[in-house]
Amino acid sequence: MVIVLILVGPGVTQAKPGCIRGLEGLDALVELLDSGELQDLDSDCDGLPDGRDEYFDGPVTVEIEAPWTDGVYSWTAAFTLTTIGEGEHTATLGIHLDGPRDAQREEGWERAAEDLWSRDGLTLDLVFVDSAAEAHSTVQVRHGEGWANAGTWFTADDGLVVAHELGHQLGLWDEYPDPAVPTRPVGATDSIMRSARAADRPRSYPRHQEAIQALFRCP
Amino acid sequence: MLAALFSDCPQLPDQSEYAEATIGLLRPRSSSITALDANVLPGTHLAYHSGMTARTSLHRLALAALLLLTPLLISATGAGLRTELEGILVDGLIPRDLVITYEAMHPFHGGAIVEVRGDGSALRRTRRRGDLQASIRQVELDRNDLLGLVGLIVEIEAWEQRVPERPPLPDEGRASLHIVLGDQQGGFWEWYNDMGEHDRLLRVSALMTELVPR
Repeated sequence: MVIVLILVGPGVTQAKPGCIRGLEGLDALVELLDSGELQDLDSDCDGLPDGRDEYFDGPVTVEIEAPWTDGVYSWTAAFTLTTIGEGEHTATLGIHLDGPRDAQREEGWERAAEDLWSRDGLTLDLVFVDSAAEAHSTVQVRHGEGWANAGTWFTADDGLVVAHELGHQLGLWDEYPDPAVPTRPVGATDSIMRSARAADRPRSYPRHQEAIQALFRCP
Repeated sequence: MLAALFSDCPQLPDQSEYAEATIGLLRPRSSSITALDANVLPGTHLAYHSGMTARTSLHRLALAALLLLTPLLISATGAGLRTELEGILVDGLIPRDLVITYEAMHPFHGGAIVEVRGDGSALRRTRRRGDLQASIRQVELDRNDLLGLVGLIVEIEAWEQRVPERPPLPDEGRASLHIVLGDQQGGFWEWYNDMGEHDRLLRVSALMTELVPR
């Protein structure tokens, strides 16, 4: 079953999503999603809404597409989140690369990002797709070096930089000090959302996976 | 006239100089030239003594009137800065209070800040990605270097902001040029990754980082 869940409005950027409780079936779920009254519904917090545990077999998939902000910064988080078990999810990211292609380089990016994000109940499946229409988002790729960001990567970027940028696609905020966002919480020096420098041995923290999984309406 | 405005201001050590600096008209007077000027800006003494007084007085009167009447307009359009910078190229005289700053420093990516002053001193801060501390390099530039830089700034009309505002993406950053000259200031910015498309800030960046290497 696939549920298309479009999160809109600035309120989603910082608010912790509510939970789903007492769901009576697909119609009720769709009605619930349409109504926007997801708050206070709770769930059994196993990654599946209580009702769906009983009524649906197999994975439940939610398409996430939401405007995201972090101070002055603004972007769209878009990916597919699939429940594969209790508290177990797969995040699928289809990225269309617009620019020079290189299978070896992209394989390195893919491996680094999947290794870094796949832990603590989350499995990242990064797929570089040929068509922008099939993709969750398009990233421009440019030759040489530059300042990689959520929408532009450089051929000289390593897998850590790409993993950091993909964190934004998954709805995560930066964690480094930034005068443009003075209220931003600062992460540990080895958090991937703070540093992508190999010397810092950057890694993801369980709170990252929890934040991504929270988009499934489960705490 | 401006000096009179400050006549009730006892904390000013030299009211006339303050007033002159306020309206941003004066090149340094010969009495204020230091050994550094003599070394770094060869020929400066001669230039200061030759015809500066009359021309400066006229400039002072004209610009004082303009500043008093339309200060906001001048500030907004960069016309005052343009006039001052073009005056430097005409006179060949570089005010000591000129400060030109190229900044391309990002909290995630690192980068560089290069600051060049009219007295010939120049400083570069460079920080690599992930480093907490920046390395600092100081050099002294000669008059021709400074004039070349001012010439480039005038050529690209560095007082004009041409890239429109929009919200940045995460980790996206700007590079900027800022010029201060007396009361006049201005500059512009471009998205760091797009500097090559405009060929304005990139040229300034290339020149300033060449003048002050890492």
